[in-house]
Amino acid sequence: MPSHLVVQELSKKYDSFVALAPTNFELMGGEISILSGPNGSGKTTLLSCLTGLVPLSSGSVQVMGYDLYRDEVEVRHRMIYVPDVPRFYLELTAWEHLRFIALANGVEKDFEQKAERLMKKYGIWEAKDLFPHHYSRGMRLKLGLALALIRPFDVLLLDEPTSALDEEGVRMLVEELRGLRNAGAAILLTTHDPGLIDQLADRRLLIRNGEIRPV
Amino acid sequence: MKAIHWLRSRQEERETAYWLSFVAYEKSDHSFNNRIYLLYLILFFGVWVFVTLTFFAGGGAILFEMLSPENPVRVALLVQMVLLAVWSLFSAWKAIRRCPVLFSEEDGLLISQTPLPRGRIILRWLWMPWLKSAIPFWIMAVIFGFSLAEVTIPGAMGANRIFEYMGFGLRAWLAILPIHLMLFGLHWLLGVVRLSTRGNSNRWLRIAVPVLALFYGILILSIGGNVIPSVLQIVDLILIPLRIGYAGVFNWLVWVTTWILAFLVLVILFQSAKNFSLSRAVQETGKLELISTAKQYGFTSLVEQEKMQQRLGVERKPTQLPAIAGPGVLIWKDVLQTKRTFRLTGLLTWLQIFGFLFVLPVLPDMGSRGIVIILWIIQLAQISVKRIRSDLAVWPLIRQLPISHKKFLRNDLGFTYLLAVLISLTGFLLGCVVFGMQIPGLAWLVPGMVAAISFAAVFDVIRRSRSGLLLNGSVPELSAGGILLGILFAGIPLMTYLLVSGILGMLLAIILSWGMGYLAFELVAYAYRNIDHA
Repeated sequence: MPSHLVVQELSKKYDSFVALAPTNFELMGGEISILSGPNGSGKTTLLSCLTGLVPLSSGSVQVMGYDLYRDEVEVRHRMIYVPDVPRFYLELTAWEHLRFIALANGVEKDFEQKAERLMKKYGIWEAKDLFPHHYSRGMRLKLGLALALIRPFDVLLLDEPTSALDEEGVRMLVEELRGLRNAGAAILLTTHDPGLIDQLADRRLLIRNGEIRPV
Repeated sequence: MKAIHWLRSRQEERETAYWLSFVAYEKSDHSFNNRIYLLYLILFFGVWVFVTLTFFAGGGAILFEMLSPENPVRVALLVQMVLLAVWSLFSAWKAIRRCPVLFSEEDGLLISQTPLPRGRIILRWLWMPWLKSAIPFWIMAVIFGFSLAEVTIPGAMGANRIFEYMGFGLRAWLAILPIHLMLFGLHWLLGVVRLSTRGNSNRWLRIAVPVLALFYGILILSIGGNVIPSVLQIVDLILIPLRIGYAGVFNWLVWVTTWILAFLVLVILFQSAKNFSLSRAVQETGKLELISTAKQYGFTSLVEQEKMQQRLGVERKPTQLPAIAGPGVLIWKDVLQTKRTFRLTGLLTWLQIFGFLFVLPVLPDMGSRGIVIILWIIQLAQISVKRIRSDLAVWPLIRQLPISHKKFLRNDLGFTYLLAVLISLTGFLLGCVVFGMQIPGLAWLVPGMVAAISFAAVFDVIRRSRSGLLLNGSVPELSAGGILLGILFAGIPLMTYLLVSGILGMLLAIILSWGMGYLAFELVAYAYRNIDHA
C-alpha cells in the first residue's frame, strides 16, 4: 500500500522550547497507527501540526503526494482531523453543522440519508436540532466524529477519540475504524486506553518529550 | 459556618481588590510604601469626595430654594423618597421573578450540598450587595444634607462652620442607613420566600409589589402635605427618621427605633430562609453571576457568548435557507448566523454607519467632518471583525475546509462588506439629496474606502491571533492599531481627493481607494495563511 501521509523532518518549537523534535514517519493506507505517550509529551501538538492548525517550525507534510501548504485545498479534501474537544458555531444546530461540512466538501448528494445514518449510529439523532453547546462532552465528540465521517478522506487523525465516549460509543467507533482501515484509509489516533491499543493497533508509535519512535 | 465565612470573605476581598486596583492600590502588598500610599489615598479621596459633594450640594441648594423656599426639607424628602420608591419597587419586582441572592456555579458546588443553616448563609451573603446598593443613596443623602445646610445655616459658609455643615450631612446619612437596610432586607425576604415555598404561597408574593407601590404612594402624598387617615400613618416609620435627619436635629430614640425595625426585618429574613432552596437559587443566578464577573474583568467575548447562548435557546428547526455548495456555503452560514443573532440593538451600529455619512454633507467645516469620518471608521471596523472572529473561534472546523484561503476570506467577509457599502453609500447619497447638496465625487470613493477600513480591521485581528489560542476558541479583539490602520488606509485616498483638484484628483483618489482596499485584502490573506508568523 502506498504512503498516504509522509512526514519529513517535522519539528515544532515555541521560542527555545522544543515541543516536537525533528521527526520522520509515514502512514500507510489500510493501517491504523496508534500514538501514545505521557501527558504533555506532544501528541496533540503533532496532530495539530500535521493538519496545519499549528504551523510547523520546519519540515514538510505530504498527503497523497500533495504538500500541506502548497496544495492546501487538495490536502483538505483528503485528510480530516477530529480534535479531542471539537469546536462548533453557537448559531448552528448539529444537523446544520453536518450540512455545512457536506456542502463545503461538495458531498451534498444523499446528504440527508448519510447524516441520518451517522447520527442514529452514534445515538445523537434525537438531538439533531439542538445547538451543540447544549450537548454533553461525549455527544460533542460524537458530533465531531460524524462531521469527519460525512465526507470522504484518505487520512483520518483522531485525538483521544474515546476519552468521553460511553461503552457503546467506543464499540461503534472501533467497528467504524476497522471498516475504514479495510477500505484503505490511513488512520492515526492518540490514546491512553490499552484496550483500544490492543483492539486496533497495526502499528504503535511512542512520543516522549517531543521525540517520536516506533514501538 | 467558618468555612462559609472564609469563602465569602475571600469573595469580598477579591471584589474590594478589584475596586482598589482602579486607584493602583495593591491589597496584597504589605510593604511600608504601600501602607503610606493607602494613607495618602484615604486622605486624598476623603478631601476629594468632600469637595465633590459640596460642589453638588451647591446645585442642590439652588434647586431646593427654587422649588420650595419656605420648606426645603420637604423637597429633599420628596426627591429622596421618589428615588427610594423607584429603586425599591424595581428591586422588589426583580426579587419575585429571580432570586436576589446571587450564587455562582462554584458556590453551588461548594455550598448547596452542605447542610448548613440557610438563614445564616443568606445573612452572610447580604452585606456586600447591600453596601453596593446603599452607597448611591448615602451619597445622595449627604448631598441633600449639605444642600440643606447651605439653605439653613445663616450667613456665609466659612471654615469655622465646617463641622456644623458636616453635621447636616452626617445626620442625613445616619437617617438613611437603617432605612435602606430595612428595605433591602425586605426585597431579599421576598426573593427568599419565593424559593422557600412552593405552589399557592407564591400567589401572595404577586401582590407584594402593588402593596409596596401603594405604601410609597401614601408616603409621597403625605410628604406633599396631604392629610392621610391615621390608620395609614404607618408610613411615618420611614418618614419621621428621614424628616428628623434632614431637619438638622438628631433624635437617638427615633434612630434606634429605625435600627430595631431594620434588625427585625433581618430576623424575619433569617427565619424565613429555613427552607430556602440553594440549588434553585444557583440555577436562577449561576449564569448571571458568571456574566457579571466576566463583565467586571473585561472578558467581553465570554459575556457575549453566554448572552448569545441564552438568547438562542436550546434548539431550532432546520433552516430552509437555500445553500450553495463549495465556498458559497460560507454565505449561507453567514446569513443564518446573522438571522439567528439579529437584535434591534445590533441595528444600532448599522444605523450609526448610515447616520454618520448621512450628516456628512451638511457639516460646515473640515474639523467636524473629520471627526464624523473617524467615528464612521470606528463603527465600520468593529462590525467588520464580528464574523471573522466567530469563525476563528472554531479554528479546527474552518481551517480544515477544502477552500483556498482567498476564496474563504472573500466569501466570509463579502456579505458584511457589501452590506457596509450599501448602507454607507445610501446614507451619504440620501444626505446629499435631503440637504440639497450636489453629490460630490467622494461617493465614488466609498466602496474602496469601506474595503480598506474593513480589511484593515480584519488584518489586525488575524495578525494578532495565535494558533495555540485559536484551538481553545480564544480570539483577539479589534485593537486601536486596527482602527488606526483603517484611518490611514482610508485617509490616503481621501486626502488625495481633497488636495488634488479637478478630475485628476478624483480619478487618482478612486484608484487609490481601490488600491488601498486591495492592499488591505492582500494583507488579510497573507496573515490568514501565516498565522503565528504574520
